[in-house]
Amino acid sequence: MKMKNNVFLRIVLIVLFALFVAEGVRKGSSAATGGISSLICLACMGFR
Amino acid sequence: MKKNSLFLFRRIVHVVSLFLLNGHFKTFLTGSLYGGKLKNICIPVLNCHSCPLALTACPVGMIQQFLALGVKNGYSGFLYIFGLIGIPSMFLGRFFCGWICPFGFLQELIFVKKFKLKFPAFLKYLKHILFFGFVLLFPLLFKNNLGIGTPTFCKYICPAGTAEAGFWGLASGVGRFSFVLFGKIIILAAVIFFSLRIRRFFCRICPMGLLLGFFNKVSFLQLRVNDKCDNCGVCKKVCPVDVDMPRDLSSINCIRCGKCVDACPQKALSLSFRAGK
Repeated sequence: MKMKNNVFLRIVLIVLFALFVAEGVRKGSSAATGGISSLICLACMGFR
Repeated sequence: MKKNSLFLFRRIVHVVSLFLLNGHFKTFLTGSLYGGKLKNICIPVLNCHSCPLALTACPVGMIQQFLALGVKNGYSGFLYIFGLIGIPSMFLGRFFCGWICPFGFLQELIFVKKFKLKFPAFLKYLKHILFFGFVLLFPLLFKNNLGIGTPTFCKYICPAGTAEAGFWGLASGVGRFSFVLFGKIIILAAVIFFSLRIRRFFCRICPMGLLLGFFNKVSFLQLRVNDKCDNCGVCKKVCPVDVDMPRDLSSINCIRCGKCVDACPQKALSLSFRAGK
């Protein structure tokens, strides 16, 4: 029973994360990720 | 299974993934960052996306960037990145730290066993401060005149960013030497110094590692011990992050490197996807 619950919990979490990704793609966050990460980040480099 | 077979396989995966994550060699001709579709995704490892060779986005950097936009503007981006981290981590846990992360690989290469030191206990909770403070909270709190937050971990701490992007930025003239960069270089030097003497030093304080570590409790990939175990202590001795093996098999600190599996003289340990014990 415990094992079944664990598998069920894992599947629920995976579905939840998939929904997060789907929502992000729908709202254009994947493109925003690409856009932001393709720019030179002066903070990452420690320049500002 | 032959002794050290996992180790050799892991080395191959490390080298291949290093080039897969940092394969934008065109930058040597153009001097520009990669801007293609692969940057829309992030692999849960510490690999700065401002590195001219990087092909994917850094999850820690992107979490901060979206939080810096504020809750209203950045929440969907935050969830997107969290989902991208969560899905593979539900299957593999901290496997990415042990097998893929370029910064972890670097630390393994430079560690000198002869000078080995014990990890200071007072640094145990530094990863919590870095993750909950510098990655999650401070980008929301510290805003500029335009109301945009600061990616505080990237800006003030991240040694991977300094190594992969900072020096390139200096050499290419993108930015000038500053007090902040000086501080980051000191941090990088300290991390390299301690990584020479403490196995996987930064992995023990890495905010990304902490987040992935929570998934060790629920991931499908688990370390398992069978009844052949005679508590000889070899697994505990070889563990690069000093996990209390074989008792704490789903520790948040375990990087799933499989060194214990290779070293176990009784072949009592396994790293597998099986549902039961």
